[in-house]
Amino acid sequence: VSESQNLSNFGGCDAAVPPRTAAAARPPIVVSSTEIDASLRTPLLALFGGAAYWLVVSSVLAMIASIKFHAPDFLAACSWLTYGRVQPAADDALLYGFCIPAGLGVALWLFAQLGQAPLRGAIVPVVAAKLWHLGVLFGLVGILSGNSTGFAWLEFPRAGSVVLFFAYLLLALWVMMNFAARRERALFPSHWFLVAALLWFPWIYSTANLFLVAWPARGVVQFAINSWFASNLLFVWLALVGIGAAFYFLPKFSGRPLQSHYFALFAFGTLVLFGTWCGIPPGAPLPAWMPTLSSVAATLTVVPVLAVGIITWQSLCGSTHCEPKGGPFCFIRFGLASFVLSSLMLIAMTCPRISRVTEFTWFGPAQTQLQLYGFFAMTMFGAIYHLLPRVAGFEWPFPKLARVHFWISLLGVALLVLPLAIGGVEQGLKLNHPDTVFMDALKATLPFLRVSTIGLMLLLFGNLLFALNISGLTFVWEKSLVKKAFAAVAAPLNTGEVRA
Amino acid sequence: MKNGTLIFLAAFLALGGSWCGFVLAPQLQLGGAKQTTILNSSDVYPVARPGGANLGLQAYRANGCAACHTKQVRQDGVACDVILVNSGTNRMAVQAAAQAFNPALPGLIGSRQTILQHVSKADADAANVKISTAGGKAEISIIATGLDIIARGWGLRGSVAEDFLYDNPVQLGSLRAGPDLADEASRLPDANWQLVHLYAPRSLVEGSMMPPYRYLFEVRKIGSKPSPDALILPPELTVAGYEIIPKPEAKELAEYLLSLHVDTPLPDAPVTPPGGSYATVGGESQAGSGEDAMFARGRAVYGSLCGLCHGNDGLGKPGQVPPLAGSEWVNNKGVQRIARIALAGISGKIQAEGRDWNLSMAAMGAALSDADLAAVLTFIRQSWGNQTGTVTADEVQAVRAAVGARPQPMTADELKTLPE
Repeated sequence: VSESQNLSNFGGCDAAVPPRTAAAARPPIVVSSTEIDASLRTPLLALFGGAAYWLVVSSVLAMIASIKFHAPDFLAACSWLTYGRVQPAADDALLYGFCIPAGLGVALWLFAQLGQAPLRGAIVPVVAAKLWHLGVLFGLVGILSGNSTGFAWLEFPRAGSVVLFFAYLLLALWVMMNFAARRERALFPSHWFLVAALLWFPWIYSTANLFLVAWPARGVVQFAINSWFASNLLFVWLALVGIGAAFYFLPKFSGRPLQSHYFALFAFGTLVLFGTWCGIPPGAPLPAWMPTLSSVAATLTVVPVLAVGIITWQSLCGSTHCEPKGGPFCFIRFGLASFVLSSLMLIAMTCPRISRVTEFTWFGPAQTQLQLYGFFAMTMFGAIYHLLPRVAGFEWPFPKLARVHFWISLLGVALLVLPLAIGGVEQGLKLNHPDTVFMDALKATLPFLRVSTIGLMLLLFGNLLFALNISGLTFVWEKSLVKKAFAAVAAPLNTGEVRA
Repeated sequence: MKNGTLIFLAAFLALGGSWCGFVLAPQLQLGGAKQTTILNSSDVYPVARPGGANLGLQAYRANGCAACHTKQVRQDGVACDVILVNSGTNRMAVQAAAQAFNPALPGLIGSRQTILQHVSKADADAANVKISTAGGKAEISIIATGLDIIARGWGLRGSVAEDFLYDNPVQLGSLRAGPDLADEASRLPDANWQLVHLYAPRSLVEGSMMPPYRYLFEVRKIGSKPSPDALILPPELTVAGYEIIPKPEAKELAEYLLSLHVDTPLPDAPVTPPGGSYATVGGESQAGSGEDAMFARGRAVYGSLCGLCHGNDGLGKPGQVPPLAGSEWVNNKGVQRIARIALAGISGKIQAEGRDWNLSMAAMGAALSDADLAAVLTFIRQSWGNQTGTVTADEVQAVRAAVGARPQPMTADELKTLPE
């Protein structure tokens, strides 16, 4: 169970780069992987445990939203479950409930492992994790009760946002303190990605909340800020965390160093340089320079996306490592492939000619789902399946279900994204045809929407398996705690003392 | 990696750059935006919404309408029509000037004649100069082009930043799982229609995917006096002894929807509101020539308004909405009856195509301009096998004047007293 890898494999340092000549002169590092893992146990179980529940909640909400395309009357009398509330709630539960805490947990583990530094003061991240999940609860209840802010990907009302923000600051602070206290001074590609992500979130989140909710900007400035925020959170932040994590696991699983260190730095640099400018849709009622600039930036974002694709390909090529089908590595490979595909979809959507067809159609949600679920969530599943047994000190209670989870998710993502994307193009082509009546264009999307419900159903099932495994693991761990406590209490109770 | 600090700084600059670009710069450029002046008018645009409509925006936000509806009209560009309003004293010179630009022009006929259609702004200006030099007087009518505008009839021009000055939150939407709502008030101006549509969308729009918003309404036993707010429902939804009352949120939402317009000409988004250019295309000579501008406009208006109930095949809905194809109420010689139905609505028992109907149609055409109503009536009278003549804006105007501000809908008996 323990992390048996030699340090030289961490982060997949290029063999040609001698980053640790200085480190070699220092006394050997004495911290064992097990000790580091043990220090992370409670924070990670708190983060991932809550995240798994939100994942299931998100799936259930998404299913309710999707069923409304089969029967618009479904739960129509309940204001809390009307489509316009359930749909954003499902999206936010996935993003804020699962993706971000999972990303933070994986980042916490990676920093501790790469820096060879056990986490100090684990109680603070535990409290922060609970606080984060409480914030998500506030936010979701807010949306469902009709108190959404109305801004895409920022729907959580003020109470939820404030709690989330401070929970994030606490978590990020602890990650950064662990980073500062690292014993292995060398920096790895994952470090750049994750440090940038840790700093970028509070920046964009506070900007969006201050200028959209607290002191709202006037008119379409709101739309510019909202688009910038959504794109930076969904595309840039998730890419930084997901790719950062994947670049750690890629060499570890494939048994080959990352190809290469410098190319990864190049991908990182171009991603933060170009990717951050994406997001303003081509037809927006804004001064023309904004959508134009965004289109140019999106076109240039092809560079980091292809770089990630090439790094992945070259790091996998010739890998002799053989992993059982459906294991953590499968999740991460699928995640990386989805990243390239979803990013290319995003870039295509900003090209004016293509956007004439895809804008305002289901192609957009298809891209978002592939990015959130196909890329990020799948990468996180892989990471969590790998690290949580090591951290908790127990094997997964249902290892076979983890494999089933992979295959079901793969099928689920395909059945969710493909129909939406094809239906979106169909809808766009029909809408662009002057002789097609609007309702006919909408009706043409219905069969596709209904197939996507099957995809959501599979994802719900997969997520249940994931939550079951995590709860099982937590239960086993708690049981061992109780046993230990009981043993501790029971042990001194020898008859002599009691009588005395 | 030794260059950690350097990498960190570079990344910081790159991230901060996008903040300056898409947060700071828009705020500097647009944050202090003020009302603009409407083109050819001293009025300012936009004006703040009245309180009810403003509350309605919050209902729009709370119920997530933007999840399925956009509120932005896309525009491709503009085209211009040149309309001769006065041929002056030297008719021959003006005719020569006009024919220099449009050799196909048969000659000068009557007042307000379209000389050039769908040309660029530069060509239109050149023709205008030529005609005024020859002693005539011409007007240029600017038409915004684009599918949203021409084929869907979702507005008269593309949405611009000014349209959203008083929106908070700004809800542009990103998915059209339902129609664009930017110009909803011009398209469907009837408050009862909007409320019934919220209560039971599929009773009005066949095959609608919109979920019903029944929780915004109250079902009440009719007391000693029926509530003035009660919905006027289609017969299949009416329950004897009960009435449906919209809650304040629903009324505000409807009020908000009825405040949505994209038809104001602005300096940076010029359009000519309907009122002449379409109705006088080529005078009477173009009647029945198929896909001319008037017919196309009529189809756009029909598709976004009438077709919701009467169907895009003009066949109506069995038992609820009578067909327009082959109907004796449509194919009259004159326009008195059909124009009155559109302008005042109709209620009560009526016989059409040998069947009995019990109708409650709102005054759906009342908010349309004369030109648009003429276009849509022409479209109806020349489609699905109907072969009756065109309707002109002047005829519509005459009927509108006769109808006046009539609050109650027409009845079949009343219509029968009118000349065919």
